[in-house]
Amino acid sequence: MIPSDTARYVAEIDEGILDEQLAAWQTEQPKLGVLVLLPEAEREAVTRIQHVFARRRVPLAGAVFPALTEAGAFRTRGAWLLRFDEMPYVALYPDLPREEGKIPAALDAITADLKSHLGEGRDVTLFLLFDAMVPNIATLLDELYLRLANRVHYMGANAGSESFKPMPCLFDGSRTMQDGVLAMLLQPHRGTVLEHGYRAPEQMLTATSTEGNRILQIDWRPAFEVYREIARAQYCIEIDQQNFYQYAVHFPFGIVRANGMILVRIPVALEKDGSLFCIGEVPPNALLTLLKAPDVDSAHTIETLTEGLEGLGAPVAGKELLLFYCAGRRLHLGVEAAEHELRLLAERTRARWIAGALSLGEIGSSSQWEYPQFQNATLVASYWGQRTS
Amino acid sequence: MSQEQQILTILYDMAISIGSEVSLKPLLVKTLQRLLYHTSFPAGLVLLDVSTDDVAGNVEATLEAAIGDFELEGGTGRVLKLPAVLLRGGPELREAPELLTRFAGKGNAYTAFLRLPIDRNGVILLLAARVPHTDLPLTRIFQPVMAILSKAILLCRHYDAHTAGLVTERNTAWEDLHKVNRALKTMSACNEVLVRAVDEPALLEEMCRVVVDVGGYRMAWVGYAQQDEQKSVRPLAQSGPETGYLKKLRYSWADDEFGRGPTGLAIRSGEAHVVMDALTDPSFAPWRSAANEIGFASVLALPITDGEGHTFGALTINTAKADSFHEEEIRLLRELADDLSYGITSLRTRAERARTAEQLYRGLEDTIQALSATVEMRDPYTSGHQRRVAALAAAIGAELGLTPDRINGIRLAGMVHDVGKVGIPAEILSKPSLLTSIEVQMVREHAEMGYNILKDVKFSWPIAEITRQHHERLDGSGYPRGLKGDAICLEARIVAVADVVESMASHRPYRPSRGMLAALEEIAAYRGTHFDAQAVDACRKVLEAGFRWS
Repeated sequence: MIPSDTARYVAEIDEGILDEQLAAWQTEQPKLGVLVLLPEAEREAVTRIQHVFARRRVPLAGAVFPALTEAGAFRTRGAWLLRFDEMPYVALYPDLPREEGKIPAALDAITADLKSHLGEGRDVTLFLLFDAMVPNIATLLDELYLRLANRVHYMGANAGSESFKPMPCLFDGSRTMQDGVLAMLLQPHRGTVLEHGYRAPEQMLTATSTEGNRILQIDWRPAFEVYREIARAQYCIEIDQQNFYQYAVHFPFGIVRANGMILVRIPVALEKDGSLFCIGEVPPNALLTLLKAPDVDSAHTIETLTEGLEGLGAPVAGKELLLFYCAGRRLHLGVEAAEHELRLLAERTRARWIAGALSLGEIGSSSQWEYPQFQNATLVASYWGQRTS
Repeated sequence: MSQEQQILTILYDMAISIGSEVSLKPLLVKTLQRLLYHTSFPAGLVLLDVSTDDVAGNVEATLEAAIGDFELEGGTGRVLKLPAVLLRGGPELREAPELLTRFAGKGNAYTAFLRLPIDRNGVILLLAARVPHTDLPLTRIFQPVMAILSKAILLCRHYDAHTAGLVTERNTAWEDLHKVNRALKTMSACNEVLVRAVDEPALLEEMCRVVVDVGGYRMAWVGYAQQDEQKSVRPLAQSGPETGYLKKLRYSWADDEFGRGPTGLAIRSGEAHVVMDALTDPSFAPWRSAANEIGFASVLALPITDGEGHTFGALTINTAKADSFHEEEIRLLRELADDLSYGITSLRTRAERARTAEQLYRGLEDTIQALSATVEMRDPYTSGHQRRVAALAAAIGAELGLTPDRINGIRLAGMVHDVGKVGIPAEILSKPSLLTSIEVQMVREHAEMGYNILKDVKFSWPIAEITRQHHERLDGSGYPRGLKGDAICLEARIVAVADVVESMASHRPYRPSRGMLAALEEIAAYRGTHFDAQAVDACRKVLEAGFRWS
């Protein structure tokens, strides 16, 4: 018997199983479409998946993440198939502009396209899956907000490899793409909530020289030098390009906001010139706080997240949820603690199912109709599909 | 981290953000973005130039920037009437939906606001559906930033005004350059037209076409002053989309309402005249409604003069935009009109010369015909001989690929090659028996005599020399001078062949016709010795091709 739920995790990517599932869904919803989440280890399966969907003439959109979350655990194999009763508008926008001067024209074109597919309803969510290697996602998000404002809610996550090597990680029925964004207009949909629960620490550093998503200097010294000292003092280890990410996740940067919340930026790679590569930009000359081995209050995080979901207008129990869990957060907490958070979320929300992936940056806000943020180290949760209330 | 440290980082971020902008719009947008980012409010407005007077509790203010609300963004730049209590007063964070009804739309329902006064004339409002959570005193922490923002707004406004001035200046310079370039392109193309021109109507049409197609002007036309009672101006050529335009309108070069427009003035004064705005210039009144209908706004008329400086017409150029003609552009177009004047004069002179030459040629031919007739009257047996030699020699010249002008010279020479026979007694010319040696000598003198008759007539061709040499032979056996080879001109060599062939093929008083075949055998026998080989071959081809004397 093929499950007829609106989402299915398949432990093995078998064309027969996929075909059977699509056939079963097609009898219920002839206009269906599917979002496929794949773990990095299954990236070679994209072409096979596209063939199955093409044969069945089912619209497809998808992305490759470091891992998936399923039943309170992280999975490196299989795939999540998330069904839309009717495929929403999906667009792949390649070659996102990096130079400041080229951004307005490119964003004008993208938003003109999106606006032409917006319905009349108030609750529309712009669901964005970025390639994590795009270096200016926060800027692009600000520019999208300038153009689309409150026409949409904002939600998203970054796909790609946890090794931070470029790879095609976004796809639809016929194309695969990197260095771009996959955008979907979910309607009706009430957006997402995002929470990290990282606490503001005491020590403050100044990123005295930054360039987009690269930090060149901290406190007027080469950034790497500062990091090396901290790692020595805290863990008695020498950090280098190979082990950098493994330790840097314990020393993310925090950008303090006036609402008391902290925007987290995890340096994920050490460049050859000694600069630190972050997922997401750091404002030039920003005063940053160094979240040295930050305490994370998991229970509070899950509680806030659940309350946020309920604030979107519906009791969460029995609902279907989509979750993005930050890869850097998992590395900082450790797999066991991270999976504990997943199970806490399932218990607290009593959701019907929670489908998700390990992400490399997240987009959302703490509650509905807030200025959207591009964050690291967070959990981003939303209701799945049209069943928002 | 202490609250003070947190506030410090926020102020630092805001100050850096404000300090990095030099233009008003980006400054306000960036400031709002940072405020929304820090406070989690979803929407923000900057209202400037807040009025000091309030009417029924409302004040007016200009919405300079809005982000986060697509409906409010649409009102950017407009003056809004808003409750005075919302815009005036110190920093305030409160829930007051009744004050925010003006901002309600499809996409929002605001109940809370954070007011941040910039200075006496400006205020920032952040709007939300409910007061966002914060532990920091939002109403106080941004005050130092607002003081900086106030000064930054002033500086940015100055910068924008300065930049706008520079942009206007640059645009003006660019437009002037474009206009001059337009005139230069037109001049260059028109010069090519002048070089290629073969007749006056085609020159005028082509000039007008180039002015419109290459120069990008809307219309161009050329009119000539008529010497009629109304002193009308007759359009002779035009180019542009409205082909029927000129037919509907009346132009004159008299000092009346139809002659006080640019075209009439240019013809009367011999100077360029421009109407920068056809819609307002009083002198353009007779043509205004038509110009308005088809979208002409500027008109430039340039005089066309003859070689003595008399104006006899005008080139009139129309554009779609008012104030279109730049001073330098007018100067260049004036040059263009001068070139056109020169072209017309030159074509007229050329035509005049051609007419004179034609008349001269006809006169010459008549004279030659008369000369030829005089000779033939005295020698009836050779009647028609010169005409027939002329025809055959011309045909040989054509077969040899000579130019039409050279062939013409050969034909004329053929017509008079025996003119020297007028000096030979008629009885010798018509003597039916063989001539004595003295008589032969006398006959042979006709070549030199012909030369003496013709040598002082200024022909364009060596007629006298051909006449003198037509009995010379390549091997030096001819007369009167026994010239050899290339010393005998080609024309004479051709006439010699034609003369022999015609003579042998015709009756003579002293013998009957020997026939064309014998004539051909004769020249073939002496091909290369007496007669030019190429001329002989060409003659054979001409005759074989069916040449007949008419």
